[in-house]
Amino acid sequence: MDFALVQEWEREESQRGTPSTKPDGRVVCTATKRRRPFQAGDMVVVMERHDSYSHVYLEPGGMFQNRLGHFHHDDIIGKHVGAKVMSRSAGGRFIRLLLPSPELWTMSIKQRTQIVQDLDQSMVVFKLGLRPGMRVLESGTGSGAMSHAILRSISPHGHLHTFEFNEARAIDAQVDFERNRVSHLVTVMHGDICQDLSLSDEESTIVCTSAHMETESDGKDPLGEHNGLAPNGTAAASQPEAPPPLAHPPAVSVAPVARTLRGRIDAVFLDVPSPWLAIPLAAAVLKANARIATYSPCFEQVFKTCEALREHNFHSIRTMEVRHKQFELRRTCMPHLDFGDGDSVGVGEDLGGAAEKGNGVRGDDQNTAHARETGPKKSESEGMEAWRSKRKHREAEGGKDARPFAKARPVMRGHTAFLTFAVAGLHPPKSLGPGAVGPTVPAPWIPTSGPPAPAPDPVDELAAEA
Amino acid sequence: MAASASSPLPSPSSPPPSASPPAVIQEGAWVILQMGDGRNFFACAQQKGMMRLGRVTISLSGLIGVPYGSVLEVHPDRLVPLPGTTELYEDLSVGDMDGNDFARGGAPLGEYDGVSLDNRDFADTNTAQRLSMEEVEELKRSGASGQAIIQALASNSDTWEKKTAFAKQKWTQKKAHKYVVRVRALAGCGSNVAEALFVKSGLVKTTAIRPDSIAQLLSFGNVAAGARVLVLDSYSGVVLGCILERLGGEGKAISLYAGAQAHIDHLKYFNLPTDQLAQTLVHFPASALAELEVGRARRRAEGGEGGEEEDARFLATAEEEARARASGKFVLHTTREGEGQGEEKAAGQEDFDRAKWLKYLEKKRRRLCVLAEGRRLLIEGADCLVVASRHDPSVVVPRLLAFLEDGAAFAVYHEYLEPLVALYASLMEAGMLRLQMLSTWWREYQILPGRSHPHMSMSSDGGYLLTGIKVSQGEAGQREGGGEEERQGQEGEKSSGKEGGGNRKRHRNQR
Repeated sequence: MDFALVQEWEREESQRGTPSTKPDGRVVCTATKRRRPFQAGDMVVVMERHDSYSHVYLEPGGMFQNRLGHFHHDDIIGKHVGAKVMSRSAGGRFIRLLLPSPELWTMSIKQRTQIVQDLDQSMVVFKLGLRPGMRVLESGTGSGAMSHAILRSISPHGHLHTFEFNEARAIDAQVDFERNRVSHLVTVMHGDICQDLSLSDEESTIVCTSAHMETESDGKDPLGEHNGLAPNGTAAASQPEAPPPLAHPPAVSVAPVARTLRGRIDAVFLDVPSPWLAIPLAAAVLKANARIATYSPCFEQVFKTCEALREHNFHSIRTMEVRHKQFELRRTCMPHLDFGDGDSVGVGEDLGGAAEKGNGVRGDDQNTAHARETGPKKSESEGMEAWRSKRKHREAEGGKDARPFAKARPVMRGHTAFLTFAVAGLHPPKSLGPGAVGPTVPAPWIPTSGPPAPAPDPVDELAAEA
Repeated sequence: MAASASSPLPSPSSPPPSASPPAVIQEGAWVILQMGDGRNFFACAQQKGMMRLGRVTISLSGLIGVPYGSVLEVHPDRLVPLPGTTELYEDLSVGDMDGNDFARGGAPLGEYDGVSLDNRDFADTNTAQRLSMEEVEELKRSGASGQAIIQALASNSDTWEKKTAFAKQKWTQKKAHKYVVRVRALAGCGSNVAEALFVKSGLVKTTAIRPDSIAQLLSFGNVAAGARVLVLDSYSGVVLGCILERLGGEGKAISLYAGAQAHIDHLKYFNLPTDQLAQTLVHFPASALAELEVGRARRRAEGGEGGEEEDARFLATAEEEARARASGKFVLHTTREGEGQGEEKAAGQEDFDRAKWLKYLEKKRRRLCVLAEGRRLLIEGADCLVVASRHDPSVVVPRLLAFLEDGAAFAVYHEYLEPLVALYASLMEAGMLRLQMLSTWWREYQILPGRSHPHMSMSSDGGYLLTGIKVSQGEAGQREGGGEEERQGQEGEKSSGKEGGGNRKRHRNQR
């Protein structure tokens, strides 16, 4: 019986996640790591304090250091999640081991840029309607916090195309994706998504650093076909354990990227200084009725972005802001105010007593006796008695009358950014005229498999102009 | 022991052909009809479907085959798509006197003329409109289009020329909502459904959960494809639907229900494919949890192993069930929920209609299969816990956490703060990590040239969230060695009591 259970379990495990266990998406996938102790090669989130986290990639013989002292990887390997690991240098100090998740990754990374906080992440992922299998375009990659949140919701079959205009950050992000075993879900590109699409290919250069370019159904690399890259057989076959040294990134340009991805992207997320400049590209790559989100700290950015969105036939444009108010737990008792009521109602009198007085009944004992006789009051008074005896018991026990209360933290983050959401329209902008009144007779609707009525392609238009 | 063929496990799932929902409205799909004034209506696209949309009763057959995101107009009692329309009332710009495209965004930046025309001469006498109500009704009866009525209203208004361009646009839009009924057909995806239900409840009622809270439940609950999520949803399935959508057909959502059956009225709005639901959704009665707690507690006490004897009984049921399913033969069970009683009673009535009896058996068998699968999943443990419930979380959540694996994330929503405070206190004592008690402030902005400001009304209460990471104190966190290998190794010695007693005692002392 148990053997069968184990077999079943194993089989199910093998069915979960990606078929190849090598790039297993461990950081973003919740399920594949159940009931397994930490092994060499794993990523562990290290909890130093309740508000301080870091992460470690385990390797035999390795060690690391933080404010709590020295810790050896060998002490961690073989331990289970939640375990305490004692410091080798400072006695009695310990860390706790946690499994990686996008939220903990966000907490534990060294910030290369201002990162998208977990609350904003959750709103963006939810309102973009991300679900497994979707194809998402993101810019900029930054520290990769948002990327991991996106990856969690589109894994195990989706794909993220992410642009970063800082070369060092693009390479760092690629390294992170490799080490977190999610590189099969991501294509990192080095380039500025905000560049004018009308620039010539040499001027608008996007550099691709991905070692795992995705192979399309037609066997052509979506980016490589435009820049003479060899078909990515070598890259795809490379071992995730030993990623090949990142070659000097080959150059591709914005326009071919836009052309390749045109009408194939399910959602776009923009966290760039000038998102309005990237809206034409977004409009070109998004499917009909697909969604876009932009993340901008300043109002002026939001304004220009909304203008650009309207121009490019987006609708249902909504701008919002979300903030967390955090509560702490306080155990405290409230001081009593002596009303001078004498012994019977002094210190420690409760609200129940006050209610009794409100009923015009004098004296505790009388009240209790009275209430016992008049049915409906009975339970209330008895409950109160029980409460009193319980309380006496508590007082005798610890002399403490403290109760837990929620206290809002005195300081909160006032602002991160405005989130703007919009939906790509189904049709090209219609030239408006007073004559266009009332519903036209609907043409026989063609339920096509592809996106209906493709929007005019700014890429092609601009190319034609040039 | 070949449980493989007969097990209730899903077959290996292949990548779904398309992640995004279908581009056009299929017959039988649920659609959200969003009106210009923000009201939302749920409609099922059926040939013979009828519904009330505000003041008119309309036929819904016009929805079938129309792309999601389309704008449709009620004309006069059926829905007619307006191809080429992006904004609801983009062609109704009566106020378009200055050549500006107001419906689609208004004047360019910096050309705010709000100062040049103001309300210094405005008098609220209610006499500006020369058209009487009867005349408007007459216009309507004569079959004039909504646009024509609005034009007539504008040209018969004394104050029209004095209005600012913005005021004209606002006026036109307001009239348009009244005389030209248009809707946008939205797909029933998680965020749309959550939004529609929340707005529908009118912000003041507490019958719906705010969308940002659902967003956070999914994120802080670490819900992702392949996860095994334990769900308690008191909001008629809207949270469950969002979770199923995020699972995308891989993993399991074990949905707890109280009483005789699950209340999942809102789940239908998500248009989830039946096979995907069958594969990922497991309804489980909360009343069947207590019997499973014994085995879990035992295993926890013994550092990750043990408790098999307690579990075996239930797994036996699962095994037989699975086999019965494969062979098509029904196996009688005596279960502990008193289900067996109905069996005996029914068996006594020999002259019972046979077809009905078989139907009854089939239904029961299916229910038992689901129950058995739920038991198996819970005995193994869940990866995430999401609770959005009206039950007292300080009572419910600690017991549900027992079914969670170590390191798993949990997120609890409640409309009141107080019960979460009690829960926070007990979870802190239990040593749970990264506990956060949160409420969310959510403000929307109108972004229009010269008129950008926060919305005039906003939701002030999104409920409260408590999130954290489950760890067990004591042995469980410190156990050494591989769980899987050990489990296999123990297969032979499972019946022996093992060193359970001592361990358990020590564990108790620690707690």
